[in-house]
Amino acid sequence: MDSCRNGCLILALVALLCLSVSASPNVLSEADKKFGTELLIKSEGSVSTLEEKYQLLRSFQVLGIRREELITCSEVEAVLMSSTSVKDLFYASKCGETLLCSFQESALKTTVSRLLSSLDNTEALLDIHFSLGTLAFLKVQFPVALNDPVSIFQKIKVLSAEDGSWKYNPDDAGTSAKAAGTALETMGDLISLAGQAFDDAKIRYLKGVASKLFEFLEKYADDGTQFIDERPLDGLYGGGGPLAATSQVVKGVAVVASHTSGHIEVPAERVISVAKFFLTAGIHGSLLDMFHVLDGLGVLDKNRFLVPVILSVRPSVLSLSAKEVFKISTTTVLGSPVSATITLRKAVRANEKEPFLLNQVLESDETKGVHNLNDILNKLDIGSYDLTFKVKILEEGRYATEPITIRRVLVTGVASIPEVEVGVLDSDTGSTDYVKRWNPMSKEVVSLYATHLQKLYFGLDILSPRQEQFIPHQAFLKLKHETKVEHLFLLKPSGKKLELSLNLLGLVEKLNYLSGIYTIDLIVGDVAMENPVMWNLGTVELDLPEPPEGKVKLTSQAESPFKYGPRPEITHMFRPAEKRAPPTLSNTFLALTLVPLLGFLVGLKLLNTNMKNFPSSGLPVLAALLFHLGIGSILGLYALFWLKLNLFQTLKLLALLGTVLTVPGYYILSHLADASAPKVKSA
Amino acid sequence: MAGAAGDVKALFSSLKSAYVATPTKLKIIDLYVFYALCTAVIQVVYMALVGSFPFNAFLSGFLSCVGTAVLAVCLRMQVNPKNKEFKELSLERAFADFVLANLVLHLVIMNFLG
Repeated sequence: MDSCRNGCLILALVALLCLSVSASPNVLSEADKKFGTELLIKSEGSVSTLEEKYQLLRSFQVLGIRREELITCSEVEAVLMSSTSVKDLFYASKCGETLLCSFQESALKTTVSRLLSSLDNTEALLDIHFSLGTLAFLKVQFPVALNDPVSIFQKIKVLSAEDGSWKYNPDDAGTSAKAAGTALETMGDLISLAGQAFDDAKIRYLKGVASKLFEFLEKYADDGTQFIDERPLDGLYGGGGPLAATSQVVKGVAVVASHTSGHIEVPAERVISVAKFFLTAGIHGSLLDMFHVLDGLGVLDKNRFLVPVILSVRPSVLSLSAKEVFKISTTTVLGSPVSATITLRKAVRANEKEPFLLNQVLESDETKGVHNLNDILNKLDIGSYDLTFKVKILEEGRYATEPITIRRVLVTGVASIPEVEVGVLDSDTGSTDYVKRWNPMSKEVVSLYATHLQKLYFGLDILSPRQEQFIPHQAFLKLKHETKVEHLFLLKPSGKKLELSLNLLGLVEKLNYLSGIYTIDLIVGDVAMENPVMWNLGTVELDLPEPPEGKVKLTSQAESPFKYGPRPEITHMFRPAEKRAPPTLSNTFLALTLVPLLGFLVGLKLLNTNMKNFPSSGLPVLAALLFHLGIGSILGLYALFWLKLNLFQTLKLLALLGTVLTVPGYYILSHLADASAPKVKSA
Repeated sequence: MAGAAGDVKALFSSLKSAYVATPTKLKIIDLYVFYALCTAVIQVVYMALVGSFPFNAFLSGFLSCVGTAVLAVCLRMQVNPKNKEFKELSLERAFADFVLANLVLHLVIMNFLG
């Protein structure tokens, strides 16, 4: 089990890749429906609005499930009787339609008259759509008479553009195909309410719009899917993306088709490509996405214009060892069987040109729509095949299908490896020094010895279940040194064999001059191989030369982490803080610096200094005070500069204070100079 | 030896008697210079004990003291009545210069203090 781990992992990845590349849209299988149902049941808890409840109910309905826990007929009736919002009325009536509710005319009389009057007062497409949709549902229960159906028809028609797209409101800037789908659905409801009021010209107009709508389809990719894209305008009216737009258009055409007689011209390949779009989108994602996919598929499954029929091949991966057979079915998108004759035009092996089977008419079981492809089974080997089918539906007109369908299938089986040839050869002469045929049954390990002057040789045959040569996608040889250093080598096909010849002289550098015992593992796998192998063939002791001067022999620890492991962590360190003096010492010296100041003051006292020169009265006192205050304030500013201010703030304030200081300074000093002038002269 | 000691003693006493005659204003300036230099010496001693980090703070403090001492010496030269060179200069003008120079010096000191 463990030995298979690496090989199996590679195989699983390749298988996944191949399957996703060749995936073609299949109709919803029972498993898909079950999965979808589970997803929907999970999302039940999060729905709150009537619209979401209808989306859930409709999704369940398409999946063939009736669920009444969400909303009951009496709740629907309560909304219909009381609600004033046309949107709520519409979704309530849709819920009622899904649940097959029936109501009394007397209870809903006021609702009907309110809807009729709202129809007269609105010009918005969605409001008309909601009102008419509700009325069309109620009309099934009891008669509803529109006041002026033709004017409503004109109101809707006014919103249309030349190219067949529509506006939601008269003052909308752009138009969209999704709005046209809504308009068609509304017109369909209008015809169901008052069909007699419309002449042939109007019906022809509607059918023309319906068949024109499919011209808005855009190609998604080369896989043949097509869809209606959302326009910026749709974003303003609910949005929902291409899924919602495509679903709405299909619904609009289907509603018109169901309420008019005769045929609507729709190209079959476009209906098929839309069906493929919904099937490719599949059932997953949000409730809204699932609803649009299921709603679209539900309309495509049962409609009166064209029902797409999809050919499916099951299983798409066929196991020969499990003796499976191909079942080919022609069904509608939701899986209802459709009678058809199927011819296998040709079966070709992938990457080959010549078909090995031509023009086989398949046996069919008419009741189930299932066709058996038995003739092909004894011709299949493991690998991929392209099967080309021609489909002819017995009941023409209603159905649309691709006349030629190509499906890729994968056939898997058990491949066998009879033996592995292991040898040591002389590099120069090529003569065999040692050879052993390793037997996968006994798994007896080999022990080889080789120097750098020799070659290692490995060769093996792989046979498919039909005993033909089979070249797998992957065949590796792994050499693993005792120090857990691994080297992988690819076995390449040579003729009908897989071979690997290792010239050790050329490999010494790759092997890092690392002599010693290497274990040899063989890994073989393919997407079609049901038994991938990882066998330990044995060991080889390599005697390699010493590295030349200056080359460092890498050990496993040195090499492997460098290649794939995490890089060594880089740590950053702050510079350690400088050593500072103990606070007591610093504080002592702070006190000590005050001692000279004290000495200065004491000295002043001893010198008998006095303040006699300080002016005693008048303006000079003020000037002297201002002078000293100015000096003090500048020193205070310097202290602030040290503590918090920057140089520019300081200089600005200094200029101010300096000016303030100069005036009294000049005044007081000249006053003193004048006062002391005689003294100086006398001295 | 005794003669030399006596000479030194005599020198000091003559210096002292000569200094007593110095005007009080000059004595105040001398006292101020002495005070500034003492503060500078204390800072040097502190640096010798603890180390020069942060060096800019030490330099600021030291140069503040030495700078103001030098400026005070300049002031003393200008106000000394015996110094004939600055005879034309009034005391007040010299003091104003001293104040201005000190303010500029300390602006630089504060900037350098960091």
